[in-house]
Amino acid sequence: MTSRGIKYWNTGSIPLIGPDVLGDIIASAADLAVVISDVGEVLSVLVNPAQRSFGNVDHWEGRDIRDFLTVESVPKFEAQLDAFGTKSEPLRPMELNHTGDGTSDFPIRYTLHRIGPDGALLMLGRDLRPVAEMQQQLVKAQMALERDYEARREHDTRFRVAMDAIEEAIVFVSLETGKIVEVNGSAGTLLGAEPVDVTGRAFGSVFNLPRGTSAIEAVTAASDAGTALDLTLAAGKTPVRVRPRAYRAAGTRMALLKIESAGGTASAGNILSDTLMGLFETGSEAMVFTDAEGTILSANDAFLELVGEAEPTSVRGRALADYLARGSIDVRVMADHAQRDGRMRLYSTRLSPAYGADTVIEMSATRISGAGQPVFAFVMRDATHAEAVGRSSLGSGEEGMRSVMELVGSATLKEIVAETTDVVEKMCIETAVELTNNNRVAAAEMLGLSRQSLYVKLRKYGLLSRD
Amino acid sequence: MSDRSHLHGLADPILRDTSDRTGAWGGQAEMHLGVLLDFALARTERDLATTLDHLRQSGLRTQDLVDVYIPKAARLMGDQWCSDGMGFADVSIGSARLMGLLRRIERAESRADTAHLSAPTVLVCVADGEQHVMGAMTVAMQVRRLGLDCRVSVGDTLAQCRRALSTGHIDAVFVSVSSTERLVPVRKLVENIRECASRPLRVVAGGSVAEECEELKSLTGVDFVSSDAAAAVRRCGLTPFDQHGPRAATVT
Repeated sequence: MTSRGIKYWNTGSIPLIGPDVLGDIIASAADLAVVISDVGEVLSVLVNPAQRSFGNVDHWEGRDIRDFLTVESVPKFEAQLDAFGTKSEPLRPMELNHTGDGTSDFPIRYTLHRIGPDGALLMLGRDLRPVAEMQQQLVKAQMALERDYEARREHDTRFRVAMDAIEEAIVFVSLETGKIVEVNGSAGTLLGAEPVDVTGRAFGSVFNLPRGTSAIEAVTAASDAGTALDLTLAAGKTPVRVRPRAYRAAGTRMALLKIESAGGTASAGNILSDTLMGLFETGSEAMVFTDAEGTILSANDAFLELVGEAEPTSVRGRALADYLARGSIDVRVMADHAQRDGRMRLYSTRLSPAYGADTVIEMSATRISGAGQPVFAFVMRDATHAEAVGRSSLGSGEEGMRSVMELVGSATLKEIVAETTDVVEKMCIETAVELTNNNRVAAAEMLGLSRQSLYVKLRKYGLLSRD
Repeated sequence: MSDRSHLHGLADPILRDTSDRTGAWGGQAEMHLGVLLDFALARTERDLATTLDHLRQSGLRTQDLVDVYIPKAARLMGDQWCSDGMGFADVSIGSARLMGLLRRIERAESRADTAHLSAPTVLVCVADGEQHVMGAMTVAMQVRRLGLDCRVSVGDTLAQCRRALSTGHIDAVFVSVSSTERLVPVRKLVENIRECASRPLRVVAGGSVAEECEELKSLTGVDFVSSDAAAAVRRCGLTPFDQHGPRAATVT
């Protein structure tokens, strides 16, 4: 037989209990037991003697229990009282907060039991203060966690800003699980996916690994050996080079991977950079980079060959002027021009190798403005062949010389020499002006004339109008 | 009720209770809420990423998850606690799990979390003694999404709060209030804010009690009461500074 779904004691197992004993049992079974009338008047209060004090509760007797409940507990109590009278199914225990008398409020979980035909109810209460205290500790711990999180947030933001600003493709992989835990924007672009879509995926599902190799083994081995892993992307089979750096932090093994494109879908910038490097290393034109002072920063093999040097280190740090027949004049003419106009081309001069004869060359100079100091790039081409061809076409010049010789007999030697000197002088000045792109300061320097003298001669030969 | 047979059904009694009372949640929305509540109340911890994936695949936008569903799930658990339907331990663990979910989403969103240098800054405060931070965190995410900078102060002492106001370029303060019983510390906080601010600041109160307590403005001394972050930003006269316009919540 049951009441409200709760089983009775087996018949006979519990004898009838006397009121004197019953009080003790109730007081011991509950932390706080209250007998109330069907309208909520407190008829009796029993406190478990082993329980922490609830303060003075004796004055509850004869008064409405609602007077000793906090505001939000009153509706809960009334709802339960109402439900107890109307519903037959077992009711959930109710948690009520009592206003303390000289103590703080205290929460009690009550169950209601009918104990008499007159409608009196027994409220058996379980002290929830230990639970509430634990809850407060939990709330405080949670709040402390949130405070820590907010403090850490600033560092996280810095990390993310740095990750997004870095142009290198960076991926963090857990060496415990083999899963990708962090990906920056550049890596996302390289992998052809949003970083958030790659994060959490297994390394082996994003990169194709050699058969029979685990991601963790491969990354760890390459990191230990300081080598790169040449892999392909699972999507698109694009070849990539992965440079891992494994580390251990807070007991977790992680690896930072720098991913470089090994071709395929490499960015346009990378392709150009690689191509230019190839041209520099293997091109037939000699290339030299100097600083603003004309000191060689780097030179390619073609230049080394032209000047008869064996090692790049032999030329690095030396003045480019050391290798040019006209020395610093050549360099200054070209550098000034490039400084002003950005570039200068088809400048003819001679290269003086360490050993052997000079080589006729054509040079171009370009000023490259980088982030730091300006750099000048010189490209040189052996023009010996072109000069030979040019010389063979100078027939008309020789013809001119022959006509000068025909003057012998019709003019004195002094007159002929004076005439010839003027012709030669004019030709030299024209050549210097042409070579320097009409830079008269440089032309004067090239000819060993003062600027004033050059002007006089330009006027004399009617060359001033070439501006 | 929609098909939730694959779930453990821990959320069913809560949802049934809610439907009985409001009748407002149904269909797909109830399904989403069920997934969230099952995640929060599961006896053994569920995988956070899997739950997010599941919600995303069922068509739930991250923004709605943050603005509507997680707060709603937390409120339902709170209601259950008040009506003795759930114990404090279950509610505490459930809330902590929902907070974890929010943090996960916020972490993904923080990829674009830096506001423009000229963007106004809102200080979101949770008064000392408050028991909840979820509301404050949700508001902070909404403010950041609007293109504003946001700083959160959780249970800071008055001295810490004073420091934040004197060193940071704060343009408005939003105070999160979760209970009408703790209005005295909120009032003290508001007075302190006004005292420490180097220039007049708009102070706004918001939270679940905003709808319940008509006298919140006069009791706390704030300029106005609002639980809508965008409306509060507008009323404070703050202009989101984002060349790309307000951000959408990141799909995680």
